[in-house]
Amino acid sequence: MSKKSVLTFVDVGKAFTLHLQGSADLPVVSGVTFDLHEGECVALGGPSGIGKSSLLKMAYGNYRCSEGHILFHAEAAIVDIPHASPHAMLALRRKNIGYVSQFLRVIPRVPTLQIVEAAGVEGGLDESAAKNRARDLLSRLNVPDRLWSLPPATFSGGEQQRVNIARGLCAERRLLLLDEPTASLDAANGAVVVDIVKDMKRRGTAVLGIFHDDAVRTSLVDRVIDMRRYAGAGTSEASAA
Amino acid sequence: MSAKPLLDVTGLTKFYGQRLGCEDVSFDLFEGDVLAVVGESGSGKSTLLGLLAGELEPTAGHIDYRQQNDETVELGSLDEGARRALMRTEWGFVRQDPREGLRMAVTAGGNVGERLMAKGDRHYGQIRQRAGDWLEKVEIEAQRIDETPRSFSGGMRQRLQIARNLVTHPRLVLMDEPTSGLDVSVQARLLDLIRGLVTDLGLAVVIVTHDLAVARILSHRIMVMRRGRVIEQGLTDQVLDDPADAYTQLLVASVLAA
Repeated sequence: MSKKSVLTFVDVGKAFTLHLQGSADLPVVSGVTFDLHEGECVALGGPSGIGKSSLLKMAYGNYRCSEGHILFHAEAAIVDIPHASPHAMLALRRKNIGYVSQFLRVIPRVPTLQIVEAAGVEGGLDESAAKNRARDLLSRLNVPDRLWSLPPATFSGGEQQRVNIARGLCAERRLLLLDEPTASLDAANGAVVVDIVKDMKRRGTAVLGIFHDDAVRTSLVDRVIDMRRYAGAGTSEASAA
Repeated sequence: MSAKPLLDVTGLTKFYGQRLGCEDVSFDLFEGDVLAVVGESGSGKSTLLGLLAGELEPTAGHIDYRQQNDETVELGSLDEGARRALMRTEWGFVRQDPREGLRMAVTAGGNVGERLMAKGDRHYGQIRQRAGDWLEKVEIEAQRIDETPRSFSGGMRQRLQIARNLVTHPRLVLMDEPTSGLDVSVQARLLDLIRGLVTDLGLAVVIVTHDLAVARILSHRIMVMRRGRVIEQGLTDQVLDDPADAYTQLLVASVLAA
């Protein structure tokens, strides 16, 4: 493939050490090795509990890695995410890496439009571009414009989720991590999310995600990585083998 | 932004006689950074804050601060007057008990205006005007400008203390449990206010708290202290979501949904 790499996993492993349970080691994944390219959407597949969300969180620097490297190919340099300083990681999150889950961590008292706009500005859009993008996303995601001036704390679950998606997709991103962003959205809104992410892919954004919805998978995903290959050593299957 | 940190703390140690206050604490802080120091009582976090504020004399270690004029000074090398001047102008200190951070017999306007006068402002009308603006920013009704904080609720007093500290546009603000002892709803409002001001003003903040939810909302980085030592530090969401140290795991497991 001639396209440039955006994210490279090299022998990534993760185990939780549960100190409160006699320091039991809970292996999650091991030996994860693959490449994600510009404009490509890779889905993490496999049953729940196999470590899909954990891997996304490791790529976002939210979880640590026990071993291996996650190389983010930034414009100027390559950053090894598990070994990046907090400052470097925060800068990557501001400028390059978006993470969208199904849950909105509510920011009290800030109006919806402002939340979405601010995400765009923080990600490098100028103010008017961020404003336009925020309005465009909110209306495409069917968040009624009478709600835009209100903080989302009192919105319905579905509305909050769509505000969260608009926020997560407002800035241009080199890498987008999606943890079931369309779960529990209706089909129409799910399709809107797919369209928005497709547009970003066309502009070169690499997408790594978990998608349980078949319609979303078929229209968005280029390649599936079966996470069962990387099940943490020490799980029942692996130790039996 | 300068490549050099605003605050660079190295090997900071304090013994009270034989008893350890804190040992070998090191961290740096840039403009706009919010660092939360968490731990239970007796963990050394208040000692650390006291050292940073220059209220305690370190046994070892040093604190380098890059001033407005870009010159870096070691705090211990400053004489009392220079240190006080720095605290009045470039630093703020929001205390847990607003009665310690405010002058309780002086009006709200006076509490805020005093900091401006200490910085050299002399025009009474302008001082009053700016004090009024700041009361508004911290959501205290302008007409209460001539009342003393004795007539204020706990939450209002804390907001007034914040106005008093931020009116001079400090570059670094130390906060000691600023939301403890307040009702939950009052706490949420105060947290939200602090979050907004810190972002808007690009403040560097060291906030000491035992409340992990407060750390989660306000800080970028977190430092966990126990028995005077730093046992874990890193990105706030990383330390709270994937704590490595046994004690941090216990701390995180002991609270309701931080």
